[in-house]
Amino acid sequence: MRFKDFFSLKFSQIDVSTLVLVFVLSAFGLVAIYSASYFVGSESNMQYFWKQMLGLVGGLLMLIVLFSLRKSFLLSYAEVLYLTGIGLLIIPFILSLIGYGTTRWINLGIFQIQPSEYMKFLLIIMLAKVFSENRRSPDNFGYVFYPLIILLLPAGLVFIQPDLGTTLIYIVVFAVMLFASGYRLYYIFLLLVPFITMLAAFSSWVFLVWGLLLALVIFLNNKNVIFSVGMFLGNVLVGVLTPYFWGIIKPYQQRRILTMLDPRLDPMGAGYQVIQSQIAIGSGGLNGKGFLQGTQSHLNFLPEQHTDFIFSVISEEFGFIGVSVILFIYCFLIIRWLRMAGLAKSSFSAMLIIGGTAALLAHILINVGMTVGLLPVTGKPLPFISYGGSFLMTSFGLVGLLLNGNAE
Amino acid sequence: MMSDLNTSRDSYPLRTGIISMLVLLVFLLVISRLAAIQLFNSEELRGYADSQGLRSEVILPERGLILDRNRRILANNITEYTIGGRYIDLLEPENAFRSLAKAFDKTPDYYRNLFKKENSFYILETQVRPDIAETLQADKACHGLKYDKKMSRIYPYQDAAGQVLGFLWDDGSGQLGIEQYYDELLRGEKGYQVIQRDKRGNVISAYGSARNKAAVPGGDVQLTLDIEYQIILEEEIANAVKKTKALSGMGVIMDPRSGEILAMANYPSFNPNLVRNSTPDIRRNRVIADQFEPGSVFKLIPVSAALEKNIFTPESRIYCEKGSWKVKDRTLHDTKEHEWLSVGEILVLSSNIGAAKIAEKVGDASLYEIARKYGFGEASAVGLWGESAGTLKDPGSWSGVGFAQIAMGHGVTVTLLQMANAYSALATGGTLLKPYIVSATFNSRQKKISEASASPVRRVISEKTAAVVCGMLEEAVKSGTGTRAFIDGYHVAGKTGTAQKVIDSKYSNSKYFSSFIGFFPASDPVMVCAVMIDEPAYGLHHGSTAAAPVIREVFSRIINTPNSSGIYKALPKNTAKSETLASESRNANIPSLSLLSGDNNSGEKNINIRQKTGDESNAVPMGNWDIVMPDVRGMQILNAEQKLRALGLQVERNASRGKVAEQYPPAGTGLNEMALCRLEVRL
Repeated sequence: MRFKDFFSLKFSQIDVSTLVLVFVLSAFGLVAIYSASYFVGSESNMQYFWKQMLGLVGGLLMLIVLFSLRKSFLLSYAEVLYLTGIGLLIIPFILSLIGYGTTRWINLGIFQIQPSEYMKFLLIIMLAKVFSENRRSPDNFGYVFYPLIILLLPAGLVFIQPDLGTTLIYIVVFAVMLFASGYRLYYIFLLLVPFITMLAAFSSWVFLVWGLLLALVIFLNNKNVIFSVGMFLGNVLVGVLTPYFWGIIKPYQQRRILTMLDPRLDPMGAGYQVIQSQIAIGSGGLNGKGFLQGTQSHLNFLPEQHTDFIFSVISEEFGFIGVSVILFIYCFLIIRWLRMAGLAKSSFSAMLIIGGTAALLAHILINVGMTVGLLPVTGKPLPFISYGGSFLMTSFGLVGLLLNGNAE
Repeated sequence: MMSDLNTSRDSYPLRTGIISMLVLLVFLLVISRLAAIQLFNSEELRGYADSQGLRSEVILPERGLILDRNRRILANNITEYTIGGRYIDLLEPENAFRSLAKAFDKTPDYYRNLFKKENSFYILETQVRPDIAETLQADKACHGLKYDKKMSRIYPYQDAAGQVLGFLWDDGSGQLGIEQYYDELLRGEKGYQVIQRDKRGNVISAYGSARNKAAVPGGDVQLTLDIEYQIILEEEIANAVKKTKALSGMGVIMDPRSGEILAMANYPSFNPNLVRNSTPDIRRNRVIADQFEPGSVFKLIPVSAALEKNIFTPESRIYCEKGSWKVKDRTLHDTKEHEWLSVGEILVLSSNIGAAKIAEKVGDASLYEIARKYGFGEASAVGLWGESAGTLKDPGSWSGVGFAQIAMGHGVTVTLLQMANAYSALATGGTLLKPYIVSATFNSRQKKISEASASPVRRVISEKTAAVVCGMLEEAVKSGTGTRAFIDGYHVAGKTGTAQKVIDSKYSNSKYFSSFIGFFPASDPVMVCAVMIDEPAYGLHHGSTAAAPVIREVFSRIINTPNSSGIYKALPKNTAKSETLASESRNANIPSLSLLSGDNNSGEKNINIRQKTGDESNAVPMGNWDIVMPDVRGMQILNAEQKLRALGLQVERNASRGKVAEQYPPAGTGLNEMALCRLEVRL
């Protein structure tokens, strides 16, 4: 096997506007990191800045590699890559069982790898292949089963690490790809139903109303009586069992689940961060306090200011105008990529673009939603802007992957 | 099934279009949320951001000092730091550990191992000297450590005058004694400084703010006490209590010319540095707080009244019933079967029957009047917390034998300070002065804000009466009940007292208060000393055996303490002259001592000490100096102590480590064996 079997260097087909905008965002990130690591009373701590520059170089390399991989190679080796990724997710568990390291990282001495990051690419490639293969029609409910298994394996492993944020990103990637592949909306609704049932089950009145509504929707949409009745009864069973299981688990376990769903229930931990973040954002006002003038970040009140809460630093120093520009660029990029997907020449290409876009979108929304207080704190960084070399490589890799789908 | 792998599906444009619309909606939602926070809540949140980390910190003022009459520091402050921190707050943990190890002579591992969890706060060092703490604070490697500055009160003389000084409670408030009475002056005023701190607690900047206010240090309080006299009195009382196996003892020394209290002692003693080891009972200043039946020392009252009212002359003879006299339903006893005694002899020999007969003749009203005039039944307003007034009932409520009881010091309670003050009035011509213990107070800028001086309360008896009674009391020491207080050549005057304690509301036959009040020189007293020993062992229970020797020892030691140790400074005026005299006499090797008497400048006199030949127990070593005080300043205190002890001197020190900064007396002073020297280390 030669180099050419794996790679095709097709730089003429790269989307230049995407590249330019991504680097504009990265530049914003560098400025914000410089500011966030700037300590009043001591010299500016430039080490974060230079490390981020190094991360950008690594990200660029990652982008080139994933952009240059041949799609034929990806198609042929999707399963092998996917299973390798699953193996890497399991390794930390085994290591932690025998007393080495945590469940998230594999320590290779000079650097650590986080398999759940690389799994994002592998999951997208695998799902892109599965969704584009069309084993069954998207009009068939069973269409979802195989992709669902592909999702649940890594999602389950990451969930028990526990890394709720990454699990959520896998699910968003899967859901967006499933939706884009043309799966019937009614079936998507049916997939969501059990989760709504679980929540509804905590109040008997809500559960009753929800049950009636569900029955109505199911029987209006499906001619197959056995399927409909099975669906309905399955949901009733879920609804009955949920309070039962909730009742038998220990209070501290209940609390742990509740804080995972809403970290604000832990006021000294995540709740504190949310409040501090909102103070930082709000105090920025329209124009911001100016570069290096943010008091929240410089007094270290902002938690994780250079990583997860970098958006708050920008909000404080550059105000509503500054963050609007950033959000506009994100929005522009996402819609541009989705348009690329709509125009792609093959299903696989379209799915690669949609998968990469979905992963980046999920990161953006989870991070921004967290900083502005719309979503729980899950500790996910902001693509291209947050500090952190390995996440930069993931973000740029995803861009490479989706630009790869757009090329040819 | 891989048929359309290379062709796009029709659904994609539509579905991606729908997704795009949703994305747009979500971004609009986020933007509107941002607008809500940044454009409409901005003012409020900016306020939070600005005030966050701003704290108004209290700056504790330094507490004022308590000084003795020679400005020796009796209560001082030391600043100490506690150093602690969290591992995660340290910017350079390893360097910090190295710096700490160097500062405290430990290993870096010691500090590394202290941090068991990196998120928890650990105390690293306590009682850190300010200079060390300040060095570490300036050390960049230690950035992130927390310093808790604490001021503590120390009492360099340990338990000397502990009950008078009081102590400082954990909350910084003065308790008992001077510390409480002058708390407001001593404590100063708290200051405030608005300081901005980051989340780690590091100070970012001090803010100019309207709330800022500098701390005002507390003012100093100067006492009339002389710590040397105080120590002498405490030691002698302690010796007496131990020797007589008594429960406790107390004493007071006053300058009768001014009302100044020179020493006020309680035994068992109380060390305000170690409050936790003490009980409230020990912390109480009994000299002013405890009231007791005075016994014979109270015979001063009927005798003074009789002479003042011209009912008797000193020579009037009274029949003392051969030691047993029945008055109404009581029978009074004397220890000896006296027949005819003069008024003077009654006082000198302390005859109960004689005193009762005088009192009977004087009458209840006059007796009461004179007792009140002497200050009994009212607090002396000395300026300390917890002073008792004692009890002196109105004559209307006295029983038929009230006069006899009062004459013997029964049925009336007094404090030791009241007794000492009454005798002071007698000793200085019959005018009662207000006793005082604080000579001056100063504000934080060392400016004097108040100064006490002699303040007469009232005339009690005429000068003539006073002089006559003084003469009787001198005779009592010379030949009466107080002979154990006799110091040859010093004209000590005094009166013994032995009062049965009231146990279960009955007079006990085995438990007594023994007291003695003496002053010298009798003709022109400069010092009054009252001592009370509580429950000396039976057999030693008389005032003459338990208390009188204490007075002699105290006076002897004070007289014999070298000039330079502050005694003569304590007795004001013409100190230069007296020093010259002292040095002259040293050259001539003639034992002599100068004492300055009262308010009349011409009253300076030399008292030549006659070497006593007979009774060695009363001999006071004087004049012939065996030892010349060496200069031990700059030596390690233990070495210095060893050196002085080798010379035969007694040594007292305020610390066990450090170099000697001050020595009393100074080098070159002539001393006798067993003289007390004091070494001080700067604390």
